[in-house]
Amino acid sequence: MAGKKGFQYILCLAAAFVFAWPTLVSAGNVSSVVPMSFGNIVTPPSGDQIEINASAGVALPRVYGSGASFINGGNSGLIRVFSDTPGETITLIYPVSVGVNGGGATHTIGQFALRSTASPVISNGVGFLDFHIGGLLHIKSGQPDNSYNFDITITVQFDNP
Amino acid sequence: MDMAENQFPIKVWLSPCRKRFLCTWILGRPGRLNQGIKGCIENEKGKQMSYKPTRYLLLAIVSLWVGMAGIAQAVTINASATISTATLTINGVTDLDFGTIIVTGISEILIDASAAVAPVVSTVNLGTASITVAGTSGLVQVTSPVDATVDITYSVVDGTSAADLLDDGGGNTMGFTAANIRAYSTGGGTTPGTLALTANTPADVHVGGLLQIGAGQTPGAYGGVITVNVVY
Repeated sequence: MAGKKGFQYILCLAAAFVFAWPTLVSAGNVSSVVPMSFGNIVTPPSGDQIEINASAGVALPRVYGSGASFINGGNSGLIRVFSDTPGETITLIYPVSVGVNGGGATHTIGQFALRSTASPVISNGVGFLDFHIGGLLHIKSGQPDNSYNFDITITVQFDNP
Repeated sequence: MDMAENQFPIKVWLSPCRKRFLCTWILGRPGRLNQGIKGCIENEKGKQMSYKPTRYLLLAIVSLWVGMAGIAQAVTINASATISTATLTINGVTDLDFGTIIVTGISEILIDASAAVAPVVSTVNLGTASITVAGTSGLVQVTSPVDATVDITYSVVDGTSAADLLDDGGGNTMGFTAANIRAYSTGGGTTPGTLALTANTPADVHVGGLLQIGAGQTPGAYGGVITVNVVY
């Protein structure tokens, strides 16, 4: 009886594994990330707005506000997602904005969805999907000259067909 | 299958119709699918029901539910920006000096500093002038807080703010144009001139030009003010 019971436990585990397999595999679907950089910005003391518009692909930062700032370098970000299920719907959910305060008014980055690869995206097959990430940086007056780092937490939603 | 050995109790509190659905599927009794709500209630009296489904079937159903549900994964991407409100600085280091010149007629004296890494002495470009004291190109240094390529433009005025002239302070002028300053200074040959800067490292801008001495030029010390403009 004990042997039969053990066999049925194994059967239970096997069933759980088979049915839960898509979820287990999907847990590691975001395979790589390239940080976003607004580069080195020389801005007037009154502040400015700098955008990276990556909605159509790789993009460089450019002046969006007063036009008085100078930008050197920079790049859009990248999230590479692995889809193991054709027809899977992948949606990126962004925060409204993220901010960093160095002592004065808060510098913020927002409008991610408008300036990033549009989602949801439906995968055509098993493989990688690239999502280029951009945003709009608001440089506020009164902040000390510095290098600022922003952590943007993006939720990648997978919905099976 | 020995049901006594493979069953365990669970408790559910659901509406009668859901009880019927669950008991049908958990207990694996297809016959109950055809029972009405009334039959289900009659067969499962009381609010707290005790069922004894088989373990494997229950786990399979739960796993199926988990596997079919959408999942979300959070990923953090970093964004960076180096922000500076400091801007370009420009410092005059050496004045442009054509030296001492003896002329007998129309002449042009040239200081070509367009590719110079060191001051260039003046040379006779036109006419029969002689240079008795060598001149030197001017030098300004430009510093940027960030790596950049900047545009350089030049202008020159004499003591009365007249453009493209030098004067002796006594009403006599001599031709000295901004266009020729640009042509013979750093970045010469393009409009505007350009200069690559490395962050926080002073870069030299050598300033030359073409002095145009007219016929019967009144002897004297001629001068003016050259403005070097540097912009991102």
